[in-house]
Amino acid sequence: MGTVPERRVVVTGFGVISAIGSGREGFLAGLRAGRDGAGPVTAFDTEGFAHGLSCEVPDFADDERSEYGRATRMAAAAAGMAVRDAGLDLERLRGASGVIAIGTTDGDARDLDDLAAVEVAKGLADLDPLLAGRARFSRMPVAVADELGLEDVELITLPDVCAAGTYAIGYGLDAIRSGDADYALCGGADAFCRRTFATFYRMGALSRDVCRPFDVDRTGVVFGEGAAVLVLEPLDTALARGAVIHAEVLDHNLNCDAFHPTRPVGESVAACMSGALVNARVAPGEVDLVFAHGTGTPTNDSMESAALAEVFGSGAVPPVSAIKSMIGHTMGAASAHSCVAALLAMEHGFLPPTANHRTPDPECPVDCVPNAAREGEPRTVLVNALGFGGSNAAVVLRRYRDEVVR
Amino acid sequence: MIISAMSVISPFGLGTGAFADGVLAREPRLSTVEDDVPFAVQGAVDGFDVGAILGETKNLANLGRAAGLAVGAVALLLREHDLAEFEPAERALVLGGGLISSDRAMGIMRESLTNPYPYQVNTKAFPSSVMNYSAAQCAIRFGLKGSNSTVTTGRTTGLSVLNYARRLHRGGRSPVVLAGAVEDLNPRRSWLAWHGLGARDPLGEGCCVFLTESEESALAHGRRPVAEVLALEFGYAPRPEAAAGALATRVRRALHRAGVAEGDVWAAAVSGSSSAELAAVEAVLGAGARVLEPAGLIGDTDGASAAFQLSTAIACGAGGDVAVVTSVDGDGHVGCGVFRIFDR
Repeated sequence: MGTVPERRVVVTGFGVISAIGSGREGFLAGLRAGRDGAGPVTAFDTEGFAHGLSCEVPDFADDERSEYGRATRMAAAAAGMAVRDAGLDLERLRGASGVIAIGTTDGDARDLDDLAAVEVAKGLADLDPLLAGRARFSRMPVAVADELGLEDVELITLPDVCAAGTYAIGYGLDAIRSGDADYALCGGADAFCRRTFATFYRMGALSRDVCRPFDVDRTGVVFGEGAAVLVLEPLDTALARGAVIHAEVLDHNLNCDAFHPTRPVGESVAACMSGALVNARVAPGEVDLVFAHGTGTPTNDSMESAALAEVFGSGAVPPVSAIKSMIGHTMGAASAHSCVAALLAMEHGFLPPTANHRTPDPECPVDCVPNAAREGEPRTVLVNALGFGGSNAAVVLRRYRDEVVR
Repeated sequence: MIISAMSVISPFGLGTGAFADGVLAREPRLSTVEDDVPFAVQGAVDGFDVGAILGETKNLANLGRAAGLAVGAVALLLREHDLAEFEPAERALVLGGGLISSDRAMGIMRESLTNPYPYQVNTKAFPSSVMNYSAAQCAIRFGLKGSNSTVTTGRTTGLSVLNYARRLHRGGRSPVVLAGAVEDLNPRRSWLAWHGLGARDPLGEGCCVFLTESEESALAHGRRPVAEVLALEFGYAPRPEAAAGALATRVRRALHRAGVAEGDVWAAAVSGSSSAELAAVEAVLGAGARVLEPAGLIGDTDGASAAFQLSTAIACGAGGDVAVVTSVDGDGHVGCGVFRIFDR
């Protein structure tokens, strides 16, 4: 929609860390199996809470003496995987200009929780300098640059809460289109923490058992953690270096409800998705699969179902996958996780399921691909996301047919 | 992209005029700290009352100081330019800061740890414990339904919000973008900065918001350019000793992209936190370059510092002067901007 001729931008690599598996094979296997990564909380003592599960990443060790916190280290690890997946030569990457954009909700929240515990026990004068030094969210892309030895990079953290992954991908897209960047490493990361768990418990928004998006008995979110990072490149340079192209990023869209801190507005969510389709020059009927925000709260899923009906027409909504039922609500990483799931779905010809689904809710008349992955050939995928504060973000991805790998 | 209006809330008081007067008078506005923090003085916005700016007290109880400063600064700007000529969905906001949510986040965790049950936390304070709260509050209060983005890049945040705004303009995504940066004072921030960032100079707070649009748009709506954003460049210095070189490279690149010769730069506005900035300025602009450093007047405003540097350049410059704004963060972000400053 801009006046400058647009460079086409494609995804040539991705890295992913999640409760159901990390890396291409692990995450793919988890999605195909419809495996729920929820289990008892291990990150902190849950005494005093009557219920609550989490989707923690079991094989990502804490490193208390690292200069980076858990979420930041997950972002760096996912970025490293993404660059390897893209087959990018690090020396060449170091000679190019890039953007590293990481979305998050809480940054290194677990460190802030620990800092608050020190404040309670001893006072602010006794804060651990190492933990205090990890507190600023702006360190997240710094860790990525460190990991990969990149210096000619614009580093940016986008703390745009639960839509942040899409904000980061959209930022990378626009940076490449504008000609400012030769590549972008973009996605999101968050770590599971007590403060958010306690707050959602108190608000009655934490699931009493597992996460059941679009189910009549859904009771709320299960928090997860992890990171997902995509490598974006201009199509021409990706072709020139013979890269495997996972998908084209057609376009994205952002808007704001400007209404309430925690109550989303369906019309605005629908307008954001429709705007993304318009920007992408895609008709609603061309969309084969939607990745929903799908948190499993009573409010979100009925609101989102109505918004989808508004965008696609009642009865014409394509299959809708809610992967938070498997990986938990990974907050700032969530929509980046959905984008990675979308790439895998397009490459491997399946629709990832919505796990834990028992009884459809008449308020949520969508085909949520219940419980079992379905064979299919999704070509065009819409990823929807929204966050507290009324921030909405949607992105449209399309399979890049000629370069598909199986 | 031009800046066609701006708004500042600073230790010098409310408004761009109060800030410009303070900067031109060059008298530091640092006050004695009452809280138990390791700093004797700080640049506080004394007596700040967002309710007085808004002319109402509705829904202010949980707003908090960072969002209060941001809402106040946007209110002051919109009082002059209501943007009614744009549809609500066209009005975008990009807001940044450094540690603007940590105080509330740690406060909630404190409640969880000290109350009889771990879930006994103030859920009304929860929205303000996430970082996009300030931007969301501005959107809610002023009907800004375009893209609403929160950005943080440490000390370079004030330049990053302008870069974000520039991308929105270039991509045809929004004809008008409010771009700002805010940082507030509170004991938790002071101690986090002391321990984690090695901060030893006085801290400060405040908010700057810039109205960005094309020159044609400004003129069509009766606004005159305050400044033009000629170039913005960013990079990463993996070690402190690499920062001066990394910044000098960006300043040269930015001047080249702006089509400005080194000798035509009127002044550099530095963040004052790093000797690397002075070294880079001297390396590129020469030892005699005029240097502006607002942190000495209002304290170190961290995530808002680069925005205050630009506001300082605008306050002091005139008649097409070209100013360079430089920023180096202890975590390794380096950034610079080249701006043409017009008569106000």
